[in-house]
Amino acid sequence: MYRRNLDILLAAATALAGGAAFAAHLPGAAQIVLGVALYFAPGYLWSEAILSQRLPPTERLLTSAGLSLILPILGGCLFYALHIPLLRADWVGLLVVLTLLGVVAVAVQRLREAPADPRQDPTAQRGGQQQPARKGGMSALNAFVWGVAGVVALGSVAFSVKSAEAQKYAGYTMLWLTPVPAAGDPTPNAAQPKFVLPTQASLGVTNHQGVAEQYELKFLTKGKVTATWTFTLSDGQSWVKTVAYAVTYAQVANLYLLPNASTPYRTANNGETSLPTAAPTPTKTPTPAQSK
Amino acid sequence: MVAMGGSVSSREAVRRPGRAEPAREPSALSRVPISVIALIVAVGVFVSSAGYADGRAGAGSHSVPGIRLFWIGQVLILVPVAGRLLSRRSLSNGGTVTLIAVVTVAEYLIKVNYTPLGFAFNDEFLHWRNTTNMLATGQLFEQNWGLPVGTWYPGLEEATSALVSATGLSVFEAGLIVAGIAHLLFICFLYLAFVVALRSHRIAGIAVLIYTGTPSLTSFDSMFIYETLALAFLGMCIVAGLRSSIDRSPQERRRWFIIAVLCIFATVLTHHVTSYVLTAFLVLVAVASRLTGSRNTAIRFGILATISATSVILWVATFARSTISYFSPIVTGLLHGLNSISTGTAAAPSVVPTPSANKVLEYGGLLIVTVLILVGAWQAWRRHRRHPWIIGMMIGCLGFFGFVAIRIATPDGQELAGRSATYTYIPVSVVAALAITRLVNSGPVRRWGAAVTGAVLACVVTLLIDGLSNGWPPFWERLPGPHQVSSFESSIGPEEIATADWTLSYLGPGNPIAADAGIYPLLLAYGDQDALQNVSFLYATPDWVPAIANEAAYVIGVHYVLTDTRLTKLLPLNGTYFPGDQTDVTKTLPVANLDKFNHITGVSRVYDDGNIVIYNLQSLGYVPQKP
Repeated sequence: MYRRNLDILLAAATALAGGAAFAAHLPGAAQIVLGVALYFAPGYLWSEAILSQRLPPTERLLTSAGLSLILPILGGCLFYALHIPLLRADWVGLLVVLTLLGVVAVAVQRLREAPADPRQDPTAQRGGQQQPARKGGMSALNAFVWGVAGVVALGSVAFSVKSAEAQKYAGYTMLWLTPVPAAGDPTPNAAQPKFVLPTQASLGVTNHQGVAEQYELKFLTKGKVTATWTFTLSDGQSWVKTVAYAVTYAQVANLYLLPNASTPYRTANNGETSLPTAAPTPTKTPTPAQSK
Repeated sequence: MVAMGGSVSSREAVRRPGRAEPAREPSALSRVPISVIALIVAVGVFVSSAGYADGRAGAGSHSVPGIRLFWIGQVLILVPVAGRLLSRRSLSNGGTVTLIAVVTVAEYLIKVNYTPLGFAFNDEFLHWRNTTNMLATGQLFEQNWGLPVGTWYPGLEEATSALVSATGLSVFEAGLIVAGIAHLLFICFLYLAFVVALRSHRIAGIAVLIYTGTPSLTSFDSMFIYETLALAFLGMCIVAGLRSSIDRSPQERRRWFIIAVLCIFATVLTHHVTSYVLTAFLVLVAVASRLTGSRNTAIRFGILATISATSVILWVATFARSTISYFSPIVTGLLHGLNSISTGTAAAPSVVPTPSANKVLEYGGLLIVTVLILVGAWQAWRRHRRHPWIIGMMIGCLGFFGFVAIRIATPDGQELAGRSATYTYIPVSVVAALAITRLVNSGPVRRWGAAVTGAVLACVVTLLIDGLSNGWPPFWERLPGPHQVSSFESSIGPEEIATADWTLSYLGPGNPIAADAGIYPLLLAYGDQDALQNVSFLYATPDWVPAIANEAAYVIGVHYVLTDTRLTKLLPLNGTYFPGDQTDVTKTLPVANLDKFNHITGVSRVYDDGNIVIYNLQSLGYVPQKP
């Protein structure tokens, strides 16, 4: 009886441990393992509850996995209907509740049903018809070959990750001069198209050149330099400043990649002036791989 | 050994091979243990991935060694599995399903290894955005600028959000797990359905092998998109429906029926087309069962079909009303294209020239499938005319000819046909498997033994290679490589991702923005912008004339324009620069066409990274407002 219901106990423990791992903010690996178990526990239990215990292992595995994907969908819609938000804690709560309900359902199911007759159990029948077990050495060799296959397959993923991380891209530097809405909301919503004249702007630079670079940024008002900043940014680092933004006269931000302090490397403006025909120095474009 | 011992309603309808037939000669492949085949397949995955790495190292799809490695890897994956499944040496049910799982996982890993650091396929971005929105707001139906209709089918996002929440994984990692499991489930359930219906795991295995040649299977059907998940439910529903019809115990039948109903609900909540196909499929089996005298099966599937149809109608009527407007232009284009065929005015859509090898494979594949359908249908009619499932599949094969018509003669035919192949190839694979099994086992043919098996193996591998070479990604981005303009996955790089992230951080979400097709999906997803289609007129002239200004302001209401100087240097491999364009471009964009935005008073240059520049048309003097 104990062994027969060991799966229920394990599933219930998994649910509680998974929920606890989420609540306790356990380190990544532990939360991933317990979280995956929590995700698939409801599917297994409800597959047991609905389809009883007499199912070949392959079908049990497949229906359990299928129900594991179905239950969050139906449960999420139920939460929506009940006006319960679906934030992370709610999803974990849903999975824990589904698991515990599944434990109850399977327990009730097994109490109502007599122990399975081995003669009617297809898995048992299949086992009875199976050929004699192969030699231990052969099984061990098979397992070893399967293990090597798994390592090679997963190794291909690791190899691809390394290959993709090592892929070379042309470096670039981002410059922006973006008005900030007067209300102070840094992320204006297009759904509220009320147009408010801005008085401040975000002026920023991000270095993605692949190496540390030194920049000079000149801010021009009505064609005259009103501010100059010189700074060094390592790869991936940003420099951001809030500046006064005008709507009635020209403002231009010219960024220079030192030591070249004569030709603007990047340019942004507020639209009150038009740029000369010659555009700033473009980023070096890789050789075309194909052109017609 | 063919072990066709029965059918859903009349097991005697399926004939066993005669005992007088001579013993079969197992081929060399049939003696290889499955574990060794799995190892060869794993090596194939690694070799194909090495091809990808070679493409990334510089030349992309122009890397001859890379292309060779990719295809050598594919041969290592496909030939051992196909050879073992087609061999006449008996293979257990477990062995068959293992081989199917091995090849499915292998192809999925190759898909993952194409872009192992993040999503790169356009449709995946849209669901990344939906999932991210759901996790951030806790709401089911959040606005999605790129796929408004997808908002009303939140199944994939719900399943992924639950996994993200439970494990702390990123949306990308959780998405790969959900999509991978769903894809594997779909194939395994398809196999189970074939086994339950045909009572032969050998024919079922061959049918699934042929189905693996579906052009979209290793791409669209394994991506992180809603169809991938819904297909798993479709497969599960078919198995549950069949089991609810044929299981001995009434109690077991009721239980499987509950599972089938749950699958129907999940499908309806996950993907529109799959829910329609599921309904049609249930109707088809019900009708075929009625025609062949299988009353119980007809009633069960009739009830399931009614539940499915009612669920679909209720969902579309109450929530997903935009589904109708979403499909209207597709259906109109389809009808127009089919009408063109009937009036003899059909013209093949303009596409980028396809390599001759791909065309040979395409037409060869179509020819092989057509012949197999005809032979299989003949077999089905001669031997299994009282078998509801087989007759249903035979009727379903008619869809294949519609598939061919769509592929050849309608606008966007390649894409539409590719997407519809997922469904049309299900009955095709069953009927074709009947034909292949018959061919391999027929008395006269068996005298040639291994030669026949080899020829059949060559045909099947040709089908599989055809599916890969004419599926996705296309030949011009078979390998990942350097940046290309307006060319789907080849246009996704760190610069585009950083720009899209910047738009969300500094412009806020939902701004109508014009951009080229390369960065378009990233602006929709990572940028959460309302990236617009049909915007090429903005880039078509060197001057900003009033007509363009008016159309920009009043017709499409654009707020931002994104330009990329690389459009002036490279032609798009996809044929067009801008989303929604239908006409292939033949020359690069003139520099002046992009530079003009620098000279319009009131249009501010808010972002510049050297290649990509973003202009704000809404600022200062020029404020587009709809009348």
